[in-house]
Amino acid sequence: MGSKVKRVLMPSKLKNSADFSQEKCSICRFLIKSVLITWLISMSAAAQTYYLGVLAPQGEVAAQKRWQPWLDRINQELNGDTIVMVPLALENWQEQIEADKFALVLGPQVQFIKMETKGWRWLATLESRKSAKAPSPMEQVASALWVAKDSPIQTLADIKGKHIAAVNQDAFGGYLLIAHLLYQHDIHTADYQTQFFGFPIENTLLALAEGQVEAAIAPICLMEEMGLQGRIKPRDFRLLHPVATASSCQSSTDIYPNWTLAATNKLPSTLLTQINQSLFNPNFDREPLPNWLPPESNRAAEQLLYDLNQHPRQQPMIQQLYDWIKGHRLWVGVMSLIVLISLINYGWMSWLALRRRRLLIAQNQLIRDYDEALNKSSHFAVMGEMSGAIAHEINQPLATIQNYAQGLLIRQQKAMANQPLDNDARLLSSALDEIINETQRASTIIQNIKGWVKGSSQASQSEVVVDLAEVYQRCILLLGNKAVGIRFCLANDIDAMRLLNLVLDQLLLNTLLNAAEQGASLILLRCQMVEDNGIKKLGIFVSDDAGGFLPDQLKTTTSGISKVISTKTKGLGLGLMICHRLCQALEGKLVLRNIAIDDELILSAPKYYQITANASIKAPRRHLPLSEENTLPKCNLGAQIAMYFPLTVIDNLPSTSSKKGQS
Amino acid sequence: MTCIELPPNFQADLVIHIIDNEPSVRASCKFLIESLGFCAVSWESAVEFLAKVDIFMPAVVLSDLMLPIMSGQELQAHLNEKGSPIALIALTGNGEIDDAVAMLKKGAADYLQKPVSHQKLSAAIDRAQALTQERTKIYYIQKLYEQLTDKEKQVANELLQGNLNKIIADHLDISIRTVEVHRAQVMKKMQSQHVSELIQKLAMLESQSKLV
Repeated sequence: MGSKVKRVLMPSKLKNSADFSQEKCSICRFLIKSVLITWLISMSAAAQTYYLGVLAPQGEVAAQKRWQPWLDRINQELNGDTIVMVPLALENWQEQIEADKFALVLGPQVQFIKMETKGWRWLATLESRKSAKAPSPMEQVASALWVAKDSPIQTLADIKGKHIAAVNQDAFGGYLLIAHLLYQHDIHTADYQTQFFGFPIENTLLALAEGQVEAAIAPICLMEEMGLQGRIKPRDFRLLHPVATASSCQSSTDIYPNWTLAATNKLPSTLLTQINQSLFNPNFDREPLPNWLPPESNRAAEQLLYDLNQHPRQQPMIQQLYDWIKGHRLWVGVMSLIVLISLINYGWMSWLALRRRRLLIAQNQLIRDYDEALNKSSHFAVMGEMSGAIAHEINQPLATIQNYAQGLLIRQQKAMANQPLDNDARLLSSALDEIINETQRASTIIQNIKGWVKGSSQASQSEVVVDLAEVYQRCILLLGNKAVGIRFCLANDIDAMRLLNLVLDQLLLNTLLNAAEQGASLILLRCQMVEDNGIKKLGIFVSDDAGGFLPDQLKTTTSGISKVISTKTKGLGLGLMICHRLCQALEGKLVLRNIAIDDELILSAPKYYQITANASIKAPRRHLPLSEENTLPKCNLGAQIAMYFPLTVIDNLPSTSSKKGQS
Repeated sequence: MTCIELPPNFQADLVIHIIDNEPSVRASCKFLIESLGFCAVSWESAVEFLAKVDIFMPAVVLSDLMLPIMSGQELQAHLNEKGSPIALIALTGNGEIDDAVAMLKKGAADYLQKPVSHQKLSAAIDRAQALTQERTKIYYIQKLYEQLTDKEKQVANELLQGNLNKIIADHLDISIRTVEVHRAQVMKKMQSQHVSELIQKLAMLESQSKLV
């Protein structure tokens, strides 16, 4: 076309030629040629080539042979446009059509169900022709299930466990129809073995003829067509489940709507109109060309796919989910990340909670065991103290009785030393002996009871190293509600002591309990090396701000158990007497005194009091700021229980001393 | 063996001091001890006893342990601290092995539990009497020893080792004559007639680790 334009332009370059008339003639010719060429160009620009995708189940050649004459006839009817046929194999038919190359598509109607056909227009459905002369599997959509004539398979139920040949698992007029038929007879795909032989479709019947399979699924009319071609002997085969159809061919299923011609978005409306006119042109010389009818509904085919769970709208849940995720990739990613982080966080928190729970259970168990042990120990201590008190109380009058009796006896013996004993004197002597013996017996019984209690209480005691701060914390916990509202402080140079198990606990718990019950709001525990009467000792001081001891209480410090029992309501509690006894057992002593809290706070230097626990028992350790209002003692007069022990109870004395130096 | 006699001012009659805050026990105890032939005095508390009695004289104390203000243990500690020759017998209504061991370690003469048989009490008092006399003698000798000068103490220690004057002179880097003078002073101050008596007194002090 370009060369034509060049040739047309050449005369314009001959402006200066000699003959004007010649020039005029040349201009006329040029104009005529230009008009002609422009018309041709416009014509050739309007003429377009469109492609028709045709399913070719029997191969390209068969498809060309079947459809090309019809297409040529159509092309003749069109004004310049050309439709070119492209045969497509079933394997890649869907992909190629969805690639959007084709303006027209021709294939079995059911194949379109699986495609994205939005915007398509259904032009016509192929009319099925009853022609016994040359039946073709391409003209009708139905399936036939063939077995060898002498096969033991008589009914559909006999198919179970057998090998069946089929073309393709997506082939409607073949596998799908038979699979649906078997499904309706409660025979599922798992009940038989299907072998797919692929295209061309004749493979299935050939496989059956060769005995490779026990049954074969074939499109309707294939057997008849192959029989006519002499490729197979139809009489060697038998049809299973024959049904009466409008077709001249044998079929196992009903006939479904035939091949359909559809126009895609690429086909312009003008061309569509032209094709429609050609298809339904009554003057069209049809034979042997296919005859077209208005498009049929494909509802029956859709229902079949639904039954077989192969309808495109019946996508597996997982597929739908996959598609959705694909469409919302970013959000899904963000959500997944959030969920993942939440899960990790939840897992981590659960693990922490579990660990904490275990720890709490373990701690709870420890506290309970400790409480139990302390209670047991305390019970024994009380029993020991009680028995000791009773022993003391009873021994006093017994001693008085026995002293007098013995004194009298001695005096009588002295008085009667040089005289023969008369009867009265003997009786008196005997009575006094009896009194002495009985008092001794009573005393022995008391000693035995006391010995038993003491033996029980000491049976499980062993010497252990105890940490003062730990014991203090535990005792505060054990005070429970009584500890509420009290600030507990500690100042200690000495950390660890070697004592009988639970002795320090009993000492502290009893003294703390005493302070708490007196209404203290501040309890100070100090543990330092101190001088007592010029001797270095370990001093443990429990001070409170509850107003101090009463004068009577101070007097009873060492007055003995009798005082405790006889003046119990206003005297010391049994707890403090137990402490007194425990101190004595450790070769120490217990002293009660009244103090000024200010002095006690100064005395604690250089180790200042630190808050160990307050009402909530959770406050961190910190120095006790003396100036802060909330830490000021309720009353400057306080009671102090001082316990002095020999330095031997300090564990690892040299290192403790060096620690003291550091502090 | 030379018997060391106490000077007249130390030879007081051995009195048994009873300390108990329970009047009935106190009285009955006094009754029993007097029945046994001893001289007994009773006190309500250790504080009262310390206030009224010269603790540097030989005596036997029969004391309860649970006493107001000052316990029996504290009384024993006080006597030890002061170097008193008094022998203390602990008499308690609540006898504990631990207490008994602790008291005996601290120098108590005996530990008895109420009610006590007169035989045990009598025997304990006899032992306590012997002990207090022994302690009094040591106390007396120590008082004599404390009068010596440092040099005389050195000479006395050398004599205790059995060294002759010449060796003592060498050891102390002094003349033999000086040694003799110190020795005569030691004999005089320690109220010893013979060297053997001196050695015996010094040996008693040494046995009590009171020789400086």
